[in-house]
Amino acid sequence: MTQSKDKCLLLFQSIHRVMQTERLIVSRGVYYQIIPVPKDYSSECGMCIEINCSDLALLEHDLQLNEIYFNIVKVKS
Amino acid sequence: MGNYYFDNSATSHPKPPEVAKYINEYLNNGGTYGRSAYDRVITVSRMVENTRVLLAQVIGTGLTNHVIFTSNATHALNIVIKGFPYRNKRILISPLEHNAVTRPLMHLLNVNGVQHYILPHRIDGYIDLDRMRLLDLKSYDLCIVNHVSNVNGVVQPIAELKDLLGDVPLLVDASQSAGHIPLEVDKNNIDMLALTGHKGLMGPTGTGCLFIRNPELVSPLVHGGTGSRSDSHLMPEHLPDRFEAGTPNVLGIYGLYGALSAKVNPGFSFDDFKELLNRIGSLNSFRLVSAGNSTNQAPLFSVTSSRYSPSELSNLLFKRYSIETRSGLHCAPLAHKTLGTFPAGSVRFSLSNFHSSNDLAYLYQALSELDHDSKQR
Repeated sequence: MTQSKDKCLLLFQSIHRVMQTERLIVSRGVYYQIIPVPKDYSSECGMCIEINCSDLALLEHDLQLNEIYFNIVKVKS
Repeated sequence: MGNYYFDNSATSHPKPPEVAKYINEYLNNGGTYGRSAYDRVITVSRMVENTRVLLAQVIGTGLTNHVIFTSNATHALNIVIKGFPYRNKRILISPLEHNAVTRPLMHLLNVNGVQHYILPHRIDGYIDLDRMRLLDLKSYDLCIVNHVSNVNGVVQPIAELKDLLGDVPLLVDASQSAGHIPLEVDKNNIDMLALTGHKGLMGPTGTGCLFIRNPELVSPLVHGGTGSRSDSHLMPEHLPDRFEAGTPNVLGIYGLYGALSAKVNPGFSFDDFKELLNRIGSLNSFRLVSAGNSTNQAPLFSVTSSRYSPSELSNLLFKRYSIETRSGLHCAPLAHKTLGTFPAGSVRFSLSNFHSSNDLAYLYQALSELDHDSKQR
């Protein structure tokens, strides 16, 4: 299994931030899906965004630029 | 038949077809905002947040999470007026405030002893900035200004006002200006702004928003579930959740999205409108109640008649000409006292982009005939 298949969960405070992040992800054209937050991870809202960890570096800059605060959880696929 | 609906300051009509289209889409597909993460909810959440982005563009801010959905402008104004920390217990207000402001202020006066004072102004209620400079502005906690009067349509100089106020927070009631006048809260450093979705923005009733630059200043008015930080019994601090307890009006927000996505170009020019005002102003039996300077005039105004009471005139306009207007005090007794039209009030005419220059000509013709009738008697 290669590292590029590892999934990362982005956890946010609010639905507003989830949807704002989704717009940034769509503009970057990277794979993502919105899923319920797995019960093992605390989050401040019920949705989180799953991406390939290999895309994280590309998105982190956008998120910081837009002052979107988030937590990252790496999940082995 | 033309568009003879001149009561757009009460609520706009007609709405752009996109309003019904998106409301219908929601009714057919359902779903709620947040709380879960299946497709129906994600779609609704996306639409609510896209609407918030469009509202932020209307307001002129990049702080999209500082745009709080409310049920109307009154709700938004109440959040600030009742949640603000008053240290000096002194508020400045414009002389043209609506009851949406003055009634909560009377509540504050009775409960907390917070006093309100009327800004110096000209005869049409336009704030006199030169005389305002003589005030000890730092002794006030807050200033509240109706951006556009819902009685005479005067546009207040909110940018210059904020310059003068400095650190004193400014709350702008944009109920009648949103959709007609650029709001530009970031450019003008406006602290707080309340608007409704169903007037100039042409969306459905039950929608509105509050923009709040420094949310830590204001306590939430309503407490409850937000779908976030559900492990806590306290309201979350982050925006917009801090002020958005309870399921939002998703149906209305879908309609508002339709309204904000629509492009409705005005069917008349500002010159057409100015000409209408000039011609009505020349009719002997009517008094035009409008801005003293046409550069400060939004597309609404009032008249009083030397012959008819406001309710009689409004009824005549409807019965004879199918023209729909609002008569009386327009929930703004303070404005009518300022303008010398209290207690009878006036008949108000408020336009929308769906009017044409022919509709304006029809309105003038109707008033002209009623003026002529007055001379005959």
